[in-house]
Amino acid sequence: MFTKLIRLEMRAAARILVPVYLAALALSGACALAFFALRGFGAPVQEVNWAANHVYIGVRFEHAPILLQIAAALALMLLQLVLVGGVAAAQALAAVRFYRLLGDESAFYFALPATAAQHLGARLVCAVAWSAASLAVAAAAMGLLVTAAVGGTGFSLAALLPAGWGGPAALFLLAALCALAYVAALVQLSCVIGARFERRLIASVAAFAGIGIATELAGGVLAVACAFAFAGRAVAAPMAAVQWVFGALALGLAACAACAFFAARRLLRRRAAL
Amino acid sequence: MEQAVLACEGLCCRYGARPALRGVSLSVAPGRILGLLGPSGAGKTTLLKLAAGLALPSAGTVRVCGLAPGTASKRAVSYLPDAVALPAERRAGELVTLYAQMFDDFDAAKARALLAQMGVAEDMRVRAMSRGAKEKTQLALAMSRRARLYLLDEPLGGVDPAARDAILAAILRNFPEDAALVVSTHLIGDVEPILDDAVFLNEGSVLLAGEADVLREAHGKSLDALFREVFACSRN
Repeated sequence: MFTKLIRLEMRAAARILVPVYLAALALSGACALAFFALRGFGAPVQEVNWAANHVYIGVRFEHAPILLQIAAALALMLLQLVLVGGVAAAQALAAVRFYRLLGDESAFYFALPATAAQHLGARLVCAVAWSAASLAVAAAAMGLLVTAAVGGTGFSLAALLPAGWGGPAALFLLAALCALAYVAALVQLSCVIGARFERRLIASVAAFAGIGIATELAGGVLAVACAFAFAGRAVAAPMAAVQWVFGALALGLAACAACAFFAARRLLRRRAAL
Repeated sequence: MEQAVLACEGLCCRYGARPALRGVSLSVAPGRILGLLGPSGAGKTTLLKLAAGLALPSAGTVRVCGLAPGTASKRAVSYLPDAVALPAERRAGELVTLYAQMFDDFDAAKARALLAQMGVAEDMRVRAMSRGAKEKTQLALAMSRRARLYLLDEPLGGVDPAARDAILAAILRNFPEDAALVVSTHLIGDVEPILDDAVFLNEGSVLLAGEADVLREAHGKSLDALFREVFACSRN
């Protein structure tokens, strides 16, 4: 039943999200073509600025007509909106579908021979998978743009990164997946808490805000405590330290997601024979 | 003695401080059709939800084919809720496919035939259907399973009088002999001909229960007339 529920959720989300992703990729292709056209007016000027807390990588097509530059910039802004919208839509869709599971459609879903863990788990897997797919689409779209803008000019993003970045990058991705799982599990828990009240929507939003803020505060306090604990110590291997930070972050987020999942399961089992 | 398909013993359920069921006991044998009759707020929907595993009792027990409500009992129960619970974005035909994927005992060909008989187009989305069409779709899906227990909560509620006979005929035609059916309704005159047993519920308690023929003979009137008499008295 678990795989059946996952298939049901994946398909339901695909009907909405796949067109959004296709639109994003099409828009990205159009932007890439525009960049190719701009390159026809002269080689782009590449800028890489390192600052204390960020790195800025930019490309200017200063030989192209100003109107074309403005049009390309507007198309790029639209693409960014669509990409951010795609990531937000995956989580929002999961939230709306779970909210409906506890409302009008509860008699349909809870009559299925599935346990509470299967209902929650299927929707959690689906939310994380589609959110990760949104990020992959965003990465593919941006990769296409970078290739179109600076491909064949000797520009290398990898050359800008410090040595040994692979491990921290992998752990960062893991932490991002855990963060997506935590947000999805928190949405589920908030909806289940909200369903116990007459004003379900307000109660769900309040529960999400309350638990979210509490977690943020706890995480912030922990981060400050760690900063004080390690302040002044010489770091022999900065990349290894970064790896530890991302690893701890992934572990903490996974633990939070598990807590939210089991709390939601417990509350759901108090509501129906699941 | 044959095991009851549905057996409730001292069943109680509360919504906050308000009791919805107060110690209800009943049992339904295979092959029987039980009418759960009572005014609004009598506890009919709550009783069906408890049997379907959609709510939990505060006291007492409910057993479906000897099983406590859970994933195993839900395989044996086909439940028709009183309100439309189908995903609004789905088409009727897609719901047939969905049910076929979710329930091993679901007969997709029978569901398609029932939808056609009831005049529901398979390409119509649930959100675009009238209330009657939604209820017919739900009923077609519920009756196309080969379940041991059918729980139908107000199956005729949103259906026009002309279509009620056709729906009742469809229920009887698709009701396996070894299964039991519990139907809750206000429209007693319409369902009375198909009932084997009747339970009159009021404010969460059983007022009257027994075989339909015995009740009719004992009181010298139809269940519909008896219902009007009993509940007219209970309100005075």
